[in-house]
Amino acid sequence: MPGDQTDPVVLLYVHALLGEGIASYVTGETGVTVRAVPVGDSGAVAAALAGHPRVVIFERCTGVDPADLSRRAPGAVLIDVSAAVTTGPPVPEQGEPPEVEAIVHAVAGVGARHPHAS
Amino acid sequence: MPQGDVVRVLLVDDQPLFRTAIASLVNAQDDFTVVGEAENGLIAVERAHELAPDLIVMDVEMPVMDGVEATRLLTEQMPGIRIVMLTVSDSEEHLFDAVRNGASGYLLKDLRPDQLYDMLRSVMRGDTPISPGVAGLLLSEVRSGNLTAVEAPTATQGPPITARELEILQLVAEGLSNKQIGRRLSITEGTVKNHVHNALEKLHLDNRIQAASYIVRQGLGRAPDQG
Repeated sequence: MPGDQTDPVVLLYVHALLGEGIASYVTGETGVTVRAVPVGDSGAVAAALAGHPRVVIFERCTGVDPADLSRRAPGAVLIDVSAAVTTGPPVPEQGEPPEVEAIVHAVAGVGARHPHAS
Repeated sequence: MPQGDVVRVLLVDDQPLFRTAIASLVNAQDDFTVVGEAENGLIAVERAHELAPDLIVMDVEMPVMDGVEATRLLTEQMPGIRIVMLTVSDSEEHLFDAVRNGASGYLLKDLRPDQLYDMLRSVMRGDTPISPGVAGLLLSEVRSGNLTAVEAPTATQGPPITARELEILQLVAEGLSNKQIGRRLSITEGTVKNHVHNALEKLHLDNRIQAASYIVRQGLGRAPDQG
């Protein structure tokens, strides 16, 4: 069942080059598998969020609502690659995108708590 | 460049996250390696002189110096480097400016990674890939003869091209790839590539798109029933 998948980090992307590229980079840096999911595939998104991810990376500028993400993946750290790193809803205002190191740091923390995450 | 060599790539984009993403994808390919990055066109020109990359993947809209101006400078200063634009901009003006200033391709950021790899490889084979999202703009301009935005050099000062080279450029102007032209004329793709290369040099043109524009401007296109 899709809902049984428990990927600790989910990356929702609109732009495949950005989404799959960041997923590849972060996985390489942390050893934690990042599940990249096209945001237009509602079934895949639902399945990924149902797996209780600890981190969700997304692009708010493309219409993804962080409050909705928090409802569907409670407790997850939300990282908006078009704004700032935050935990839980809502992202107060859109600013500069986070440095990639901030994303790696957040994901690495998940790996430390879940040694079998990768 | 010889087959089997690893293509050395310089990435130019003002978004660090995007550079990181593209670098990760490109470095995962055995035949490419990212040797440097730059956050605007001015730094790109400096890095290009330092690193002498084979290929530059260049954003269009950047602060300090945009990608079109950087492409113009680099085409003048380092004509051996291939430059492909990778941008969110599907504007006609950006497309034509980039091509006119020497870009070897114009790609949109909505590509999938496998499409990007294919198009980067095609640039290194001497082709001029254009994202499907903007190719229609260019073809309609070439076909209509309304080429005010793409002003190919007049090329009158160059030596005349051979009949075979003209025949091949006519097919280029019809939008055929080297492989398709080779099949049409029963010659190898490599032979087509050589003819295109020689013709571009003689006519002082930078790429196939300018060649297509030249054919139309000079009234050298084939009649529709010459198929």
